[in-house]
Amino acid sequence: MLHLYLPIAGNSVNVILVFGLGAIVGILSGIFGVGGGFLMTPLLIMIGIPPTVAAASDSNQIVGASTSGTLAHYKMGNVDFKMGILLLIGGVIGGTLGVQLIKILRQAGNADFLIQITYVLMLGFVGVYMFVESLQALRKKEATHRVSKKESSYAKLVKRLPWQTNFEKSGIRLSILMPLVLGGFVGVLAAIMGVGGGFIMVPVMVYLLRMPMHVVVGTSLFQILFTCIDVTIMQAYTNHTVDFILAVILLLGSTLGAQFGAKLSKKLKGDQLKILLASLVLVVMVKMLLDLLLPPNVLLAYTGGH
Amino acid sequence: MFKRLVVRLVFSVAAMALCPRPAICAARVTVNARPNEITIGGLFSGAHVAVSGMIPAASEAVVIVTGGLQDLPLKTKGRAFGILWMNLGNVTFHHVPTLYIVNATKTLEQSGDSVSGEGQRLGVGFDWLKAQWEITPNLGDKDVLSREFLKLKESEGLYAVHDGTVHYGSAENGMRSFETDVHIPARVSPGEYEVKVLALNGGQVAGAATEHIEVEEVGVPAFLSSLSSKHGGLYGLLAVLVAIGAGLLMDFFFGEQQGAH
Repeated sequence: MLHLYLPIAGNSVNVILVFGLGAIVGILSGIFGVGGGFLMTPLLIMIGIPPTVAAASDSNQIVGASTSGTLAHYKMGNVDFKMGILLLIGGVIGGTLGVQLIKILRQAGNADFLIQITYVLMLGFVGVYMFVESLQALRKKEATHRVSKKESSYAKLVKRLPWQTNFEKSGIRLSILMPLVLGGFVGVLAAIMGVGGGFIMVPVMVYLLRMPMHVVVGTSLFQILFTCIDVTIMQAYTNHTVDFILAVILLLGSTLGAQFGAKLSKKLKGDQLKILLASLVLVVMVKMLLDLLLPPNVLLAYTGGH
Repeated sequence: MFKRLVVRLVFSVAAMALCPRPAICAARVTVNARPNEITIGGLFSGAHVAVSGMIPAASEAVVIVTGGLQDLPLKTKGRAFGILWMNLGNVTFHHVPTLYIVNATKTLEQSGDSVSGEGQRLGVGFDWLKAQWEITPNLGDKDVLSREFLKLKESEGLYAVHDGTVHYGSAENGMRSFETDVHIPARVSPGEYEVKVLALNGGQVAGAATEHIEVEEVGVPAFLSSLSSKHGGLYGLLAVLVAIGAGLLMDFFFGEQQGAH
């Protein structure tokens, strides 16, 4: 079996296995508009990649997968660039704040506990809400009439905000403050939790920005592309943890997977997409919860990583 | 003439130091490691080193391959609030070898000379190794932490004790040959490694010899390691450009050619 040596990870890997991992995560990325770091990083650690290298190299491969996925979704008219750029600006500001916040939290002690519990609770809440909501919508098959009661106070507040503008691709009218503030909020969370934020960004776009699901996927990928470019360069520059060989093998799989994912996404209805994503979110939540509850094999771990 | 005598005397003293019972090891213990240079190229996935040599016929050989010493910071996991397992603290292990592989004889274990028990006195095996390192801060549970550390390193293949892996030739002139195959895992880092053979007889070290092997990166891995450590920014930029290129290429080949909107 063909093995390649990864100079930064300091280990060798089976090329077919890593290519396969890339393809699977690429498909998920293309379907749901998430980076897939939540899945890829632990899998890479499992096959012997140090946690810091796994996370940084994964960012590098997400650049490729999200380029491929963004282009595929762009051709289907699913990328709202205006919204994406505003979310991105908010995300960069939020990410910078989040990095500072995590320093303060770490000094206060018990930061890891707080972070992991928040993450599990948030995934649980988002997953259950999304699952129930899309299930109801699928049953009623009248998705357009379901939001009237809950929306009223929130919608009124949103409408009162200044600097309202049209987002044509998404077919909505909102204050530019909304994507900036919500992008910032996701940026803070992503920095604290050490994840790309696709999992939080997608539900935020669906439920708080009220964008159509297909446009959410394309726009999320567009935004993830730039976040991961930033992370890859910063990790390579400051920590020297990007393994180029690993990223390239993953890339070959994930860029291909993202194309197929985008095509699959097109065949699914918005609510079907949501319910599948909700299931995935819940699976990740259960996995994280089990990690917390079950005693680990070894009571020592290398520093760095998630 | 006098110079030669001095040299002989020095050798005799050194031999006696290594060999407390000179009658057993009339001839010198020897060790050979082949290859003694391991190159980490693009297709490297670990290596096998054939270690052979001569020991006194009545003794057993223990082969130890050790890497340089390092200080290693690690996170400790424990239960928070009684139920949740997570990283709770930081400790640093001082003077731990990067690699520690022992190949021993099966009879060694059976005769009670096992590297895990008697080995501590002889300077070989995990029990002896544990006594060599320090852990800071001192949390008072060195044994537990050391055991976990060994588990971590064993799971990576960097620390191992393989009993029953040394084979012998027939005795001749009071000496016999030994040979063993040492597997060097892919995780090995570049540097110099010591290959040592101990000839054990009746719970005593009857002789010892050492050899060195060199592990170095060559070709693509060497180039990338150097670029990453010396020009991190440029490396990151290139990595991003290649990723974007791959994304564009895949879209070109497999994407839908016509814009839908």
